[in-house]
Amino acid sequence: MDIQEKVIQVLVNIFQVSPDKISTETTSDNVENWDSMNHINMILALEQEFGISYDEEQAVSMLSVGEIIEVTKGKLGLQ
Amino acid sequence: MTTHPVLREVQINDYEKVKSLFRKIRMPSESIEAWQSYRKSPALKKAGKDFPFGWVLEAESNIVGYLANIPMMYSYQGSEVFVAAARAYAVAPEYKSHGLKLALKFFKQPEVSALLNTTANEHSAAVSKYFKAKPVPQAHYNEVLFLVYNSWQFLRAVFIKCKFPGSIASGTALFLTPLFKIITILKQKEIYPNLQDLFLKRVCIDNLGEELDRLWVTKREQKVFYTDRSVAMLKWRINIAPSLYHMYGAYLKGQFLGYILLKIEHVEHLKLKRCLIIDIFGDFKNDENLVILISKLVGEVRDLKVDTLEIIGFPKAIRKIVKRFLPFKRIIPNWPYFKFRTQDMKTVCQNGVFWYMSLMDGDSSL
Repeated sequence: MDIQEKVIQVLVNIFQVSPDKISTETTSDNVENWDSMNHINMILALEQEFGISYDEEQAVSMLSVGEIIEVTKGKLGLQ
Repeated sequence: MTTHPVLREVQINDYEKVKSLFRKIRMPSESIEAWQSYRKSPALKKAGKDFPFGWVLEAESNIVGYLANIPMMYSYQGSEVFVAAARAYAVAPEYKSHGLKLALKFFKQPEVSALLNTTANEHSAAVSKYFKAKPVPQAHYNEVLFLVYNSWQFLRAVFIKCKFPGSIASGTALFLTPLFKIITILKQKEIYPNLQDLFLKRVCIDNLGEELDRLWVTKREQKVFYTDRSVAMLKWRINIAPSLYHMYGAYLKGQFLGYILLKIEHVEHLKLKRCLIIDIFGDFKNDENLVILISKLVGEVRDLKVDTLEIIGFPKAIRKIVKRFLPFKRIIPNWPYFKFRTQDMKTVCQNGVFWYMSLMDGDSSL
């Protein structure tokens, strides 16, 4: 599984949506359960999945799948 | 599709728009007088003129998110500690994913030594933990001890809370009141000793000047993290809503020992008038004196025509004394969270005896 697939899988689990509802174009506005509590759960799950730690500023700003993938790739040194 | 909201510091002229936000999400909003009071806090002498009183999220000329930031002064071993307390967090449902931006601003503000979130429910506790704040290590903070003065009003509030329709709640409460009254009388049958020279007297903060400041100067040297109880700070707090506060001075042979501060709270949805013990502060010499003073307080509160007398927080020693009055107990879903910036405070605050948390702390009773 590549990074994009893993990120989408985490979001599917946290926000309880079907995988076809999540794409790189998805933002927090399009996801019913994307509130601040689930956002924290998402950050913690992503950190565990990739073995990384986001800066708090970065973490609160990652409000689209595209941004999450970009920041995560940066943290993994893949950019 | 919503517009990305802009995050900025709140201004006093945002008041009406913030009030609209609270109305929209069906939460009670603060008065403009409260907003003005926060901007006159004596703690600002440390904060400086650039202290932010909170932040807002703004989208399409509306306020869609708000978090207030209240300046507070604390004392530990004679040193002043400047603290910011979070208050009144609200975000419109369509912007709910942006709420953490407000919390980030609160936890990252550079000028304060410590941060307090004293009304943390499950949601804000999770946010506090994410930003590395910790629960205050003071036992039983979420266990409210209370005495009942008006059995019918209290029982009706219980049934309203259990979602009984209004008339059924009233009727069931009326039916059970005699039995409940017997229980409360039996619980409070103990007669507490009286000491002629020890008395409690209703006082006005304006009349307590020097004796109160002398007490504070002594207490602030202790190894306890006390919120500022100087006359200036107490006056500021009480004057936010003066008609709701009742202060009693404790005297032994005419000598001022300390005070007990009460606040009346009208819980509209439960139709309940609560009296909260906000503070018990002083050098009462021994536990028996405090038992006598609290027994006198229980009598004084009867004249305030309230339905319950409640106490939240306070260290174990004080709670133990209150428990001698055989109060009822209930658990609330709140626990205070804190975050210190300096390593020395991070270390000492792990010890339970460091804390003297009550409704005096943070924004709990503002």
